[in-house]
Amino acid sequence: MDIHSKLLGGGVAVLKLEGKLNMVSAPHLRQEVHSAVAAGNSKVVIDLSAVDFIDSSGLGALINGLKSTRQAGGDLRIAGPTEQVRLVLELTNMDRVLNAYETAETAFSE
Amino acid sequence: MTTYQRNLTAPPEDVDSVHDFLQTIWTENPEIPAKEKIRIETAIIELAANIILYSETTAGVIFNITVSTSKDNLEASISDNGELFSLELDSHIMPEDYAESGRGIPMVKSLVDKFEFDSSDGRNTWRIWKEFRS
Repeated sequence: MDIHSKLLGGGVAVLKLEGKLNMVSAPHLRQEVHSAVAAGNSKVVIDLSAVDFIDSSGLGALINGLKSTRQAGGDLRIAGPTEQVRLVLELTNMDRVLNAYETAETAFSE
Repeated sequence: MTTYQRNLTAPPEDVDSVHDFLQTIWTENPEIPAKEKIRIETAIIELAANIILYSETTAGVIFNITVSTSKDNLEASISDNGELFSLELDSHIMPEDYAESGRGIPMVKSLVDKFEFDSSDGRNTWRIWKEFRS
């Protein structure tokens, strides 16, 4: 899985993931979120529009990131979940914990 | 009924190798509904990840995946030669919202029609069944 990061206005960091978010790639995501928070960007958007598969390890990395951003006074939001990601979020009830937005740009815009 | 089988050793192989194996099956069986492929692949990857993650062997775990598919359904078994253990599937429920692990087995239960675990004859074996619904 590849991770591309960029900054939006207002200290929002966007991490765009490409590929599969599974036990191989989940530690990479955890590290990237921690790096964003350490750099002072505690509002983080995980752009999942190019992620075709997530497993429970990937969910764990998202929850880990959610907790670390909130501890720093920010939040972690997800954008553009694909069909498999939406299914996994629903089956695990994570759709009530991780707010999904249509695009990365709208996740912190309200 | 067509049967596919693959032996894997982790490491160096990992769940990405399982994705590749399943992709071969999906390519050769385009009639399997897309929604069912998503459910089956999600379940099998969870089980393979579970084997790799909790393997007690230091030399790498060897596991076998067998997938049999017909026009109406698919069944799969995944077995390994790691340390035998007992498991009550019913006791695995979805953890609290902010838990970072423990969702794999409960998720598999909700993805397939039938799910079994058996530990005997030197092998741990997970089995799943899924009917195809249009």
